[in-house]
Amino acid sequence: MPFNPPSIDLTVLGMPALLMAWGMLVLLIDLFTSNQRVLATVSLIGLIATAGVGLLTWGTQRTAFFDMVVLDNFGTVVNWILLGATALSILLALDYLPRQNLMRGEFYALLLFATSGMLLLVQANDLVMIFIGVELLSISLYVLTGFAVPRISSGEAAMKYLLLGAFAAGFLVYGIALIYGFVAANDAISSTSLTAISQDLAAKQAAGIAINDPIILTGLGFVLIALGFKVSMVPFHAWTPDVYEGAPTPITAYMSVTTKGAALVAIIRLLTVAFAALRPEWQFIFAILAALTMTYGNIVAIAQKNLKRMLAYSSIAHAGYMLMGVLSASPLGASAFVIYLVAYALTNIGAFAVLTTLENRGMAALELQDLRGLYRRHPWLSVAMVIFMFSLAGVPLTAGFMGKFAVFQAAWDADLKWLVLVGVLTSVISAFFYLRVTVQMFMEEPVSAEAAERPVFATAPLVVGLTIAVVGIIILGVVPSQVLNFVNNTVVAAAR
Amino acid sequence: MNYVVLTIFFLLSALTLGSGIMVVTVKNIIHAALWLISTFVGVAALYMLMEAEFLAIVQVLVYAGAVSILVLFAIMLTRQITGTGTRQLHSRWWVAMLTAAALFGGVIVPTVWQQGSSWDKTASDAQAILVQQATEANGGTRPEIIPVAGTEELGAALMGEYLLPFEVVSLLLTAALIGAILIAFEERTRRRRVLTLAEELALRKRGIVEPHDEEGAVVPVDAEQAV
Repeated sequence: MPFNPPSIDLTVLGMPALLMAWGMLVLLIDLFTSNQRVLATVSLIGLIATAGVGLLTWGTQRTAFFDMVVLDNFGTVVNWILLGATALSILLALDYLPRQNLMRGEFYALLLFATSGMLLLVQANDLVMIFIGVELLSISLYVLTGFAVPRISSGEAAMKYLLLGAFAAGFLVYGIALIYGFVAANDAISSTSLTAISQDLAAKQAAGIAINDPIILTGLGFVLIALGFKVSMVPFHAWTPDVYEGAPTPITAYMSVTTKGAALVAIIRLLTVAFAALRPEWQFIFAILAALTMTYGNIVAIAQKNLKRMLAYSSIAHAGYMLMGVLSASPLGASAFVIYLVAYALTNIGAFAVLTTLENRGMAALELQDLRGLYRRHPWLSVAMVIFMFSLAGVPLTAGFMGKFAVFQAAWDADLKWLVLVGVLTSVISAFFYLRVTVQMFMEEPVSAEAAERPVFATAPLVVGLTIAVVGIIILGVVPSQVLNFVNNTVVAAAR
Repeated sequence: MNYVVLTIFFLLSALTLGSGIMVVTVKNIIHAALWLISTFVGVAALYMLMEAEFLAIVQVLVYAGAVSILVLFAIMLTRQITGTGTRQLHSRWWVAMLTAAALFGGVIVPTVWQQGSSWDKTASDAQAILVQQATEANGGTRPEIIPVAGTEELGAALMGEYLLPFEVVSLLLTAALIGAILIAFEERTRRRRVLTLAEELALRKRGIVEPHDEEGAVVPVDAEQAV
């Protein structure tokens, strides 16, 4: 039979492909050296090189591999954010791993594999690619979650994440199968590609066939359940606090930002490219879920005594704010999402960096009261923490405020005014528990003399990471116009 | 279909069904797992009879080979259920039977109803029909991509339309393999018993500050007694 090999278009695939190869390289170097710093440096160079590839391919907009992957400026910008978040997480891990006696070279390779899966997910334009991207990042993250093996809570977290994640993967495959069954085969491009789905839906609509068929609605719902699980959208969030608490802190910082970002881009592409015709069907349900996510995350966070759990619930709430940008399904919404993601990445990784400096070996839980009197022990660290907490709460002159402002504006323009109201109200609620952290640091005395003398591990890489986060938050908060213009231009230009 | 094929079909079906019944009735659970292998092989032979060679080989490799070994491993690792006197019948076994029958009926009745005249076609016949339909739909020329039906199309699709997913899956398997090795071959000596979250919380509630060794790790022995 005639066989047409696909045209290999490495320009489109450049960023994920380079990072995958680099992960293999790190794995090889791990054979010859046990020096963590060498591996971390090589990984950081790989991340920078990958970001450089994005610079070289900037402005290109095309699909490849039978329409399975897409390269556009929107994807490249999100890829840069993900790469930056990964680099910050490596800075966090550099001294944390030896301190916790977790020195294994595979850590960095797995981190790069997970990131390359995310880049692939960001550029995926096909249901099959979405599935494989999700699985690549998930499998690497299951292992990284269980990386702190001496701690039982780490293994417990990995097990919970794996079991629930496998269940979500089942939903994803089932949903893809249902959509594949509804959409007619396409001869020119892959039948599961998002473009093929939108073309088929448009053709069916033109022929007068009802497209809100139960089969495709169920399929879309299943796919969104699986992606919503990765984003930790209520009611698919149950794994989040346990996994974030048990995982090594740098990994918690890493996955609280990057997984959400990548999965939300997949949702944006799915809803705006493939299922734009079904917008009346999904938008309202999504708005309700976003409102639930914001409310639940912020209210339950108030009750938390453990800092990692508190930040886990706050990350659920932030997923809700980002969903507001996503479900606006407009260029404005997409650029609001990007701005929110930058702000959230800097702030959340920064907050977890502060926790990393305080975490002693063998310490599984960091309680709120452990922060008491931190101002005396390490003034700069507590000032940084205050900036992160203000930014998470969305106080003006921080990046968090710009992010919230952007998503509220997008949702308002999409005529979801009640959702904006819910967003503002929940932000006010969230200010309570974020400010409680600052009160603990500045106004309370340490619980005991022993607690007042616990060491603070503010080593060089961590200080670099913290400085980047603080400077980024302030720049984005005080002079946001450059960043806003850049994101608006690129994303609006990329919107089809 | 001629009578030789029919005879072979019924013999294979009897083998498959008979082993299937043995799986759910024998009292020794290891024997049940062994009967399961025989069921898998019977199904593989049926695939072969339908000229689906690839499916048959995959069935033997994946099910008769890997899945049954996994089942045996699971039995060996869970010591409590190696007992030979396992009672297999649940008190509401008939509910399960009715459900199974209803699901089977839900698949087979519409198939016979709609494909009554053509449902006994072999795989190569079905493929010819698919190619013919696709060619007609494409206006007389054979289209590049034909719905995947046989080994040939499967191979072409994996190297053509699905080349990229196929390649990335290899990386996914590598990551999974590294993860498995990391978890399985973790040096046991380095594992130290550290408190679970619940234990730590219980200690904190009772106001006991955990004892630390000089490296800062929680010393578990005293703490366990305190819990």
